[in-house]
Amino acid sequence: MKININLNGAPRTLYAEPGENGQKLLQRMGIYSVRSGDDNTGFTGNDTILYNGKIASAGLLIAAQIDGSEIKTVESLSKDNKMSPVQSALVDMGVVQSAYNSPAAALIITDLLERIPDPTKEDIMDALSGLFIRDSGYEQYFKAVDIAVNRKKDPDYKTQIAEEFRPDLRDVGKVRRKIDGKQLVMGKRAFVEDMVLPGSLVLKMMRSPHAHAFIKSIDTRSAEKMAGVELVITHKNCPDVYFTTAGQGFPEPSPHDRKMFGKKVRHFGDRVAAVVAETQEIADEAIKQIKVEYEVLQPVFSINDAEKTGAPIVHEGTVSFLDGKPFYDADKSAQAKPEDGNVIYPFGIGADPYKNIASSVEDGIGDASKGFEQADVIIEEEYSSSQIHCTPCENHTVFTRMEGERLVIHASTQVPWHVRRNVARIIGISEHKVRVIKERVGGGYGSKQDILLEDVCAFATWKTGKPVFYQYSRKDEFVATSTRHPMTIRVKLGAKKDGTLTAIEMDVKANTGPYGNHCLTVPMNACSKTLPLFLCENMKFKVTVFYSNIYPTGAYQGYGAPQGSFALQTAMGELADKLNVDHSELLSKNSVEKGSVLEILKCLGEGKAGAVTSVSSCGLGDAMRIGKQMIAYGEKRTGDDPDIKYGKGVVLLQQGSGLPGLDQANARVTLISDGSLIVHSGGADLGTGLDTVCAKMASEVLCADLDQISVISGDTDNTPFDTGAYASSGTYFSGNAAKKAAEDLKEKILTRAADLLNENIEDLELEFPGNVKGKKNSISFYKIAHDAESGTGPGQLAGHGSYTTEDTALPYGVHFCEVAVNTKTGKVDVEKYYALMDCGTPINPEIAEGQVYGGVLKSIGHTLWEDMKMDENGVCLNPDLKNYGVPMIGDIPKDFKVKFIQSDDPFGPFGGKSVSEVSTNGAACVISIAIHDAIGVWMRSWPFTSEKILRKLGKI
Amino acid sequence: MIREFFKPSSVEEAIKQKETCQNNACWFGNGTFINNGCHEFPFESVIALEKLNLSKIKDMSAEIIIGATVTLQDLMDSAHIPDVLKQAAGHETSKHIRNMKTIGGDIGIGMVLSNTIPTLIALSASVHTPGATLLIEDYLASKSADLILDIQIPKKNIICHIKKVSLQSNSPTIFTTAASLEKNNDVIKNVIIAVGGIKGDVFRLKSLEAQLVNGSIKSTDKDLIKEAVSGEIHPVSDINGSFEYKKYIAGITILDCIEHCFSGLVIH
Repeated sequence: MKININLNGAPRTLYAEPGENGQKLLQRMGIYSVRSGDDNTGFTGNDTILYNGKIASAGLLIAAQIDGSEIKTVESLSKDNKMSPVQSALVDMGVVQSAYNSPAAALIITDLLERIPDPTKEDIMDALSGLFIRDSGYEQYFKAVDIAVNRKKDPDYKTQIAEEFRPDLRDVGKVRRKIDGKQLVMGKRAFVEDMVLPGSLVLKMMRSPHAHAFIKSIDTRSAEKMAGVELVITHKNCPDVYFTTAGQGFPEPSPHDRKMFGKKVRHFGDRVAAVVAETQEIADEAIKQIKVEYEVLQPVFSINDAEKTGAPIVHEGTVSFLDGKPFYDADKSAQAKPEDGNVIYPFGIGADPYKNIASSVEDGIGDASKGFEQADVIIEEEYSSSQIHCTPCENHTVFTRMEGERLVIHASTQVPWHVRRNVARIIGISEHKVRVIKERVGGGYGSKQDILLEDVCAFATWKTGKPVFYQYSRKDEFVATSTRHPMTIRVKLGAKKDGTLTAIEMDVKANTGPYGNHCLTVPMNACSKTLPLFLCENMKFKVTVFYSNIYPTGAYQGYGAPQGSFALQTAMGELADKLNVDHSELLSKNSVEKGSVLEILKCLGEGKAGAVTSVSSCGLGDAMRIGKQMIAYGEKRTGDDPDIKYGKGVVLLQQGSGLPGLDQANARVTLISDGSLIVHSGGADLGTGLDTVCAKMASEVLCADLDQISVISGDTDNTPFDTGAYASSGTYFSGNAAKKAAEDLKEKILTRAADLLNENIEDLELEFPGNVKGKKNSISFYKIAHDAESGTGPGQLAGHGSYTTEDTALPYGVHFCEVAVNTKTGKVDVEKYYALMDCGTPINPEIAEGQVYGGVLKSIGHTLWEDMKMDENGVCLNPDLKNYGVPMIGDIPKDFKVKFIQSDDPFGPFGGKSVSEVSTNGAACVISIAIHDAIGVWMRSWPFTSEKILRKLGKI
Repeated sequence: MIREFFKPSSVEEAIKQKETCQNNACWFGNGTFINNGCHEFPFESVIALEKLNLSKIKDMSAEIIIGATVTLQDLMDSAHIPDVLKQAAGHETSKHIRNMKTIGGDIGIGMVLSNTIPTLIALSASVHTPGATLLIEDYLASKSADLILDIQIPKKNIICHIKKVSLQSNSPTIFTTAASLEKNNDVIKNVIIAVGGIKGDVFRLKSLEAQLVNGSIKSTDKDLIKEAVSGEIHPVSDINGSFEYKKYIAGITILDCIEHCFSGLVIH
């Protein structure tokens, strides 16, 4: 039918099916800013438009309905490629991070200010009530709105956005606009879906209806005969290559235990077949035509069941090492069921697949038994966590195409180089034939550290020679991406009466689900990011990871640290209670400080031996002192309602900054013709501001104007190698690489300037902006670049930096909270949450703040509400954001604060350490401890639902 | 997918269109349910109400008349709507959805998770269709597919309180209840307690209502009220909680509403 609409003030006419989805239709019209992500349920607000003057979800409209309507999108907000006051306020405030729905936020706030020029906090909360923000939380939006209000009155309005650090530096530690902020908030082409060429094929996946089964037969003939179907891929015609989806540097310990398609399906929703077709509708219809006969096997879901003798075995195929050596002895190898496929271990990680053990490790320092003998008090408790989903706003997406004889992959990934390596290996081509372009990433949180779509989509393009687009639905996200491992952790603590720890023991059991991606590294983090917080001579840990038929797990912001932290920190609270000592004092008495030697780290390497290290910087002491004052620690709050009880809690946190000895980052900084600079960074900016970090490294080292620096990153053709953005490596590794590259270029600039000025290099120094100053004279970068590129010049000046290290830079935090527990309903309200963080020098303080807010709010969600619930067949009962229970703006703590405790780390770039992951480690344990302070019960299993609280209270 | 989208200009034309399509078409307010991607919608033809002039709220002498295509946000913004109904509309947390979801659609779909239906029942509201005017609960029980023209809320001396229980702000309703007390010179004339979220349809606790009216249970008899609630509701365990939890939370929530309704009332 013919549709007439007024779009952003201009009449538009187009033709559409009456039922065509409104969001899809607008994207078809070139409006990139109106995005999906919630299967058209109106939950995320990614698809926000002004529909006849009111905020609405385009995905809940259809073409026939919008005929005759007036629609405004974010594109209506700006003129002459300039940001509106609202847009600039959002960028300035640092909330434009992964930014998949930043245009929606801009539109919503613009509408709010049209209706209510001076909105209250409640008005803002109401306006943003339909917008799902996972990256930066919501807290900074209140101030962003305030800035916008003032900027509408005075376009030059400025205010203090965030606390700034390092007065000796120009850009590092200062609030500066994120360099991709404008592009993102204005809804310009940025994400993978924006790069799809007209006429591209689409890929749809047929998924398993069983949690554990063999595919006895699969008949694709009818589907293949359908007009518009280009290719059907199954285990019969896919590459016979085993791999792991984990994208991690070498040595990567995860077992290669899956193929593109296997004969065995190991979870509900596992891959069965892919259809590549001209349209989604044709692909959907073709999937219905595929006939599959299954031999259904008994599934196993829980750790308890997986470890039982006689349990169903998830991987019963041939097991070997990567070098070809058999894994088991001859007798056991003979038990292998070839139809089950292969499991190939790069090296030994304590696995025993025939017992469902994907990996295991056991070690310690000192003598734990002796330590417990010396203890006056011992506590031993078990803590468990449920399966939690990453829920990025942007669903997993990939677009693949041929460029000549080369394969180009536009990916939403944290690990471009591992995508290239894996895809090339799986397809069977050389890596030089593959280019991976990491587009802007609309949220990763670990789930995009796995290579989940790129292999099959790339294979489809390689086979057909045609461009192919593959985007997960939200339901796909829930059933076929990586999630947080469910864990059961037994903690035993021994202490003297005065609180001195004599022994710590952690026994971690983790559920990796159907495949072993990250099966060693994530669960180990439950120990490696928690035990080193404490000074104790006797520590022992054991980690055992089990295969099962739950949905896939993998990396998630914090790796296993949130679960480990929940267990160990809550146990410390229980110990304080049993010792009848102040919990904060107990923590301070036993915690590490600058210079402490972390002997336990020699046992906790990830894929290789660890090393004893010492704490290079530590803000725990200051954070504890300041935080206690902020929350009036020790003062008991009471209220008018006798059913409401209040309690406070405190915990210590730690993470890492990348993986020393494993990670590597590279960068190049080039002085171009007019004296401006381009940084080529291998780093993968996930919206975290890594590109801005790299630009600041160059601006500081080279005394250059930040506006004179561009960053190109995460493109395997055009930027140098980087292991990727995971394990909190961005600032530390990629930032340090950019700094080293800038330092290399500085050396070259000075050398050339010395020649041109005829002065000694020792007498030269850089001066802002972009000049070299000598004793007698000075010369601009422009003139140096001009000379370098002339017929008599030395050639373009570029600096290279490669960063590897054995040095650790551990970020720390102390989190405080106050909860109100309704003893009648079991409801827990987080009244106050104060996150005091030591991330060294916060390079981008406003963006770092947002990451802490986001990390904390995510983990509050995990603690209180989020939970993938499964039925007895392993089917997820809540595979959508609404029923799954992600926190929205109505769920933020009433009083929510982030404060940075600066420590100058000697190894971090300009003293910077990581910030994002560590923020997720606190909520579960601090809320648990606060609940105990309020009502005297210990919550040892997350999520802490109202029902669980009521049961603990004996109300039901 | 919807392939036919009719836009009649009058109620008569709409009814004629429905007769022509018979059971192959359904009414279409703003489509928040029909267009929602969480389910496959069975109809390929819809009859839009946008031109039927059903988007007004009228404050009449004896009742408030709410057009079927009035949105939940319209309810919240109107000066004529009782606060308790505004509160119920606000239980749909997302402003996006409130701007789109219509009151007629909410009733027409008749979901047990509706935030407005229990409140409308407690307010003794009626549904006006071209052929009849029925109390909301009677309309729902009839499973009628008739076009809802408007909803009529009588102006009575009613005290009404509502409560919603959900996991968190934007998650689905676990339990919702509305209790109302109609009095005449401090004499209880009528009590209505409507509950949603349990299973099946929104329903009333008629036995408890009667006992509160005849005085065999007093508002201060907390245990008796909870016991009576327990006898009248039969929840099922699901992802939002167990049978025991739902019974418990229903008991205390309803008791809370009843206590609020009766507070300050001198019982004769």
